[in-house]
Amino acid sequence: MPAGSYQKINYSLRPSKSIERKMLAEAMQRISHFGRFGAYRYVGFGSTYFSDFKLFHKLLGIKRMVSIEEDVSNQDRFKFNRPFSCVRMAFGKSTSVLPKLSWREKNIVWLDYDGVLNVDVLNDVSFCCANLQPGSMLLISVNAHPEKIENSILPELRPDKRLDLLKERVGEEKVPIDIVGRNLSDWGTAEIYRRIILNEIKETLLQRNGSRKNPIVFEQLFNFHYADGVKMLTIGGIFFRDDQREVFEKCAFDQMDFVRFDKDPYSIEPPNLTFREIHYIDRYLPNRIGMLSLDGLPKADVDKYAKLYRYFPTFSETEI
Amino acid sequence: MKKDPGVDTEKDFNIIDASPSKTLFIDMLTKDIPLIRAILDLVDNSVDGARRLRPNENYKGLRIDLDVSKNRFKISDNCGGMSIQTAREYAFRFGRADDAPETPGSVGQFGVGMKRAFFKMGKKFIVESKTKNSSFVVNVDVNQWEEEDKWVFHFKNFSENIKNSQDDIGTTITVSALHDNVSENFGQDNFRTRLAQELATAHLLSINKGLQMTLNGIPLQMRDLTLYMSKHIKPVLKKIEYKVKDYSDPVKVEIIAGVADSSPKDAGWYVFCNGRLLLERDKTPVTGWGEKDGGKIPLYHQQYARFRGYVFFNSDYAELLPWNTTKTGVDTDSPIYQSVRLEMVSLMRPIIDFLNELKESKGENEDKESQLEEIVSSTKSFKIEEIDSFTKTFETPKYKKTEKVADTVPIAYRAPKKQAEIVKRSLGAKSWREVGEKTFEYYLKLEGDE
Repeated sequence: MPAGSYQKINYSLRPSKSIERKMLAEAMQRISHFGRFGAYRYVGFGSTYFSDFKLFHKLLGIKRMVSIEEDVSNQDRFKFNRPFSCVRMAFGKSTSVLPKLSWREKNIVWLDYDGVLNVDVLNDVSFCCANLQPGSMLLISVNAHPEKIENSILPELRPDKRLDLLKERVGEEKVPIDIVGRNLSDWGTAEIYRRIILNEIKETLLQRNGSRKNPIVFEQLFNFHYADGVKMLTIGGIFFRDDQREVFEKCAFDQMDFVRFDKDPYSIEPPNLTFREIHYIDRYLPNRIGMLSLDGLPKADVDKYAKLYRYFPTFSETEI
Repeated sequence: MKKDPGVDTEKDFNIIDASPSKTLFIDMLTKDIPLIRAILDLVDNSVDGARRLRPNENYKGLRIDLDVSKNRFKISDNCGGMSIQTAREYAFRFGRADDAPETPGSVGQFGVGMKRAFFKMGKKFIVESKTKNSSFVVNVDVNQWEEEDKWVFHFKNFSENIKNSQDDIGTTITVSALHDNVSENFGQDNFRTRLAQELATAHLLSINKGLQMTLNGIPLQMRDLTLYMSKHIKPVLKKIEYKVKDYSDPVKVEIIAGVADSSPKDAGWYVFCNGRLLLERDKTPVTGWGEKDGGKIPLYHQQYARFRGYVFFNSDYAELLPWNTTKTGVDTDSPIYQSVRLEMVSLMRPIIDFLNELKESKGENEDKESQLEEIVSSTKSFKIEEIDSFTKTFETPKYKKTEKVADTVPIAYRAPKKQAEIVKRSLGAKSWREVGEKTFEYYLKLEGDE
């Protein structure tokens, strides 16, 4: 976890992130078809808040947890903030910590960067793809905000500059040849990040599998777009052996409306509502929403809320 | 595995069977070449077509299109096509026939590339070609061919003395029934990106001369070779000709070297043979870096990130040029290459000296650019074809050396930030360096220097 951002933001207060976390947890519950949670380990970047660790431990009962923390100068503070005794701290850059962990068990790994996509991120992704056991889940979050280009550069040259920057960060050989600078504006950066990450996964798996009969495959399950300020992308999925497809089908991920198997993202857009409004709408959810009289409530916000209400953060859930 | 027909050794006991086996060509030779390089061989043939068609090397309007997917490989060009005679007598032979007509300045020359590429990729291939006045189709199922005793392919159909419209002229090759690993690679974005890069690099000279190449419909980007040029900094150019016994046309060599933007990735030597790039940004002993004995040129180091050298070998006789069969590097045993390499080292030496001097000049004054650095940073990059001012030996621009103050030593130490800030404020110093200098002066003033 790059040092710093935890000092500015309390992660548990970012509404979209909190919604995403709960959705992920709900989906994770289904991988129990691949094995009991006692056999799983969670690897994440807990920062000082450990929101993901708290949720996944409480909800899934995972008992082996490792938090990777880059800020080596404040070790005591992180240790002090560990929410449960089963959370182990591993200090150092993820690129150097990951290879030091054992990878014999099944894992849920969430590489929750707050920086942009770069070679280090791709190296971590590649490492995980080369080492995760079938039944494991891998999630990657990156800042996918279009690069801000200095004003000194002419507007018509900015898209190309953005593409040059991307090539510099991830390596020219990772940027698909059909990409042009214009593709990187708005949510385009997130779309291309997704493609580059998936390319890395596919390429590593191809090498890992050799030409084995029963290869390990990766199925994308998550493609979240959200913006608590800056645009973020979370891409993730599950590894399993080709002959475990039946187990995968049993998980029935396709029944969850936030699961995404392709390039169309699920956008998390929490509305701004007061608690009075929330309690009011709740009384009509899930199946009487048509009967709600708006009374001045913006229809768009009500719809957004109806989509997210089960995951919507409220004060009653504030972690103390 | 099927037994090869071989020779009938039972009839004549003096005969030892040494006939080739098809398996050797189908399964073995293909192991010596990486997939991307095998594809480059097919592209080389198309580029040769372009050279035959336009000896003046203006390739505007010519194109080579590659289409690569999980199920199929396809390359099509409009570079002149292959005549029935060439197909019948030479193009499909394994190894170049002695009497094969020369393509002046060709890139392909060993007579294995095309077939090796087919076998490397898949089990079925179709070659369709149209010239001004002929056309043919060859359709081969490799498994079937392997079963046959004879070393022949068959035309599916051909016609001569016809008139083809200008737009139809060219060659299209399709390979299908791809091998599993090939198909998987072709399906990967990352593989296609690497292929595009290698294509654009290998043929950057031809692309710069107007030849259009596309991969899955996307035009490959031009890459420029650049060097700095100004009044003060000029690249070197040396032209050499090697006349070889029994050959009417000499090997012409051009060496251009100098400095450019600092880029460890791009620094080094680039070696071309008949327009085809063989070595890219080479920083190894092959191009003279870090030789063990003698050590004329040091090992590559960060401070040489501005070095660029380009070597162009050209000859009508491709076999005189120093390439290896996979065109992945130079044949270092080639006498001509050895001779050129000596020239490269001599030309490179003054540039290395200059870069060393540039690095040293930095140390003299941390706060501002040295005069030499200023000269370098104000020099502009040009594409090498735009450069019109060369020298014979690289010269370090004249500059005023900052005089090293005699008898000084550097002093460095760390101090607690809070206190240092207080001292800085009280001294009115603008930098930590100044804090150091002023406190030193202060001590001297109080204590004296005796």
